[in-house]
Amino acid sequence: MRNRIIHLGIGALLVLGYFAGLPGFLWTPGSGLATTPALTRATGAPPAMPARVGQHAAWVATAEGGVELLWAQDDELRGSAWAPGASAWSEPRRVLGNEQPGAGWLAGGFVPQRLADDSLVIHFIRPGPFPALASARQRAGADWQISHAGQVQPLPGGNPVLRAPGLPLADGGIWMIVDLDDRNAIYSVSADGRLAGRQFVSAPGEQLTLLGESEVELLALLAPAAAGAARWRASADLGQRWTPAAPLQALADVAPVPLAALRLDARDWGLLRSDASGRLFWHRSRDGGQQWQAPQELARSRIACLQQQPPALHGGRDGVLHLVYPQAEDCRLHYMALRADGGVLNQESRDD
Amino acid sequence: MTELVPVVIFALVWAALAAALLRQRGAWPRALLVAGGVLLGLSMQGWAGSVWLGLGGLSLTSGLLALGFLLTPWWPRPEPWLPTQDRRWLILALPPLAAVLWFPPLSSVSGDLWALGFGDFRLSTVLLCIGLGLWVLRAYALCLLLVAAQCGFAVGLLPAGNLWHYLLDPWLGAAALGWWGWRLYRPGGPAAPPLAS
Repeated sequence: MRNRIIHLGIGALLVLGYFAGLPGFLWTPGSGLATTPALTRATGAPPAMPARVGQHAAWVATAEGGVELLWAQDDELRGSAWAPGASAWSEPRRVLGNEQPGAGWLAGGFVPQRLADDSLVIHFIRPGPFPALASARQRAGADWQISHAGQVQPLPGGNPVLRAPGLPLADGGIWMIVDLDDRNAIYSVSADGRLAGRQFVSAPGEQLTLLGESEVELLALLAPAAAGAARWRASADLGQRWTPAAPLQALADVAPVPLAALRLDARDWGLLRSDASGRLFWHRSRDGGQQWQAPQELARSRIACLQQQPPALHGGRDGVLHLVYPQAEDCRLHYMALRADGGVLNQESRDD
Repeated sequence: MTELVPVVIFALVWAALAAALLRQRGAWPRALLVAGGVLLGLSMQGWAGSVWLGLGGLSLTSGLLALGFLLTPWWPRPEPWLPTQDRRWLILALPPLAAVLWFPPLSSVSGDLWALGFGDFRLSTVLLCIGLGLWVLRAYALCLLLVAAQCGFAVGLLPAGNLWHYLLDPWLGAAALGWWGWRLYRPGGPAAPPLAS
């Protein structure tokens, strides 16, 4: 009798385990995307920024309503900020060295995130045979805190690289794009720093860029593996289901460099692409991608540089679009400010 | 909490290995080894080497096997908590399970079994079928290991939200594979590695 009770009890536990291992969906994205408010019309012109030597440049909004450019240099994270009304960009500051996160912490790129309480989170990949997603968080005036989100891949090895920008979620979580050898994957990290899901929506070799349209609608823009036409996929349910990939007719000549995309307003998107010769073009659609205005050439770079450092684009709250791309000559980071219509506000750049 | 559990698992595995190598069966030596393992794990948290060794990513199964080994001298029943037949099944099953999980990323096969671990009814159903098979065969210890991993996943014991992290880790797969090699090299050797006894 006792053995029979134990036998049935363990059978019941198995059923419990089944439900315990069943959160319901393969892709558990989070609460919903944190869409940015519509950009106002740009009124002022930001000052020039000296060209910078660095890698993995990414933008993040500052607590004061401005914008800060972050980049990796000598295993340190450096930043230079500007707020509307200021006459110059701040002198480069050392945001975080490698003492806490460990040597080589920026080799795999980083993704900055500004949370609702104004804390700054830097997501990065701890290198080693078991590369792991980790993050450093700094609340206002406090020390950095490091936490781990788990291994990027099941196996040791590989050389995963994070690519900014991330797509923030309303609850403080974030989606990030990770380059896994020849494939791009979307990783979802929950608000408590837990690795919560991953999925592939691009073909091998394609470079993925995400554009959030509303809390649940998003677009995956796919730069081709070799120069050619870009493709796109859309999801109306937070990435649970995606439409089949279709060519993006307006973008026929796209280099194998990730596109930079920005939501300017509802159904109003701006997009930056590079062609096979390294020229950067600004595209805009005001009807949700049905029609695209004639592209405007912004600058000239080099494919080899762009593949190391894809263009980083950010929409400031004052309506100014901030762009950083590598110079054609020496791949140094070059700054450009522009309006949503593609008008360049300030592209002078003096050498450091 | 989620940052402390990997340290405890590392401490248990470390203490079990040390106790096996040093042939320590007393309560105090084993408790001291666990305490030393916790201190070692805590001191290694900021050290990049622990990431290099993957020591923060040990699975719940590894931790429970180590705990079972450490508690073996005080097991009240005459038969071991993990019977010989269960040990054999576990050691036989681990390398193929690891291969099924790790083959797609190694060979660039499009299937993403790793992603299924984030919560999918197909993986849970397969695990339920495996569990029912073990239940019919009365391999209760393995059933409980499986349920513990699933329940640990449900309450979020480990930093990762992936069920595979609870079930299996590369070190556990490598240990089982190493035991296969050892048995092939010495067919008349013991039936299971010390940690599974």
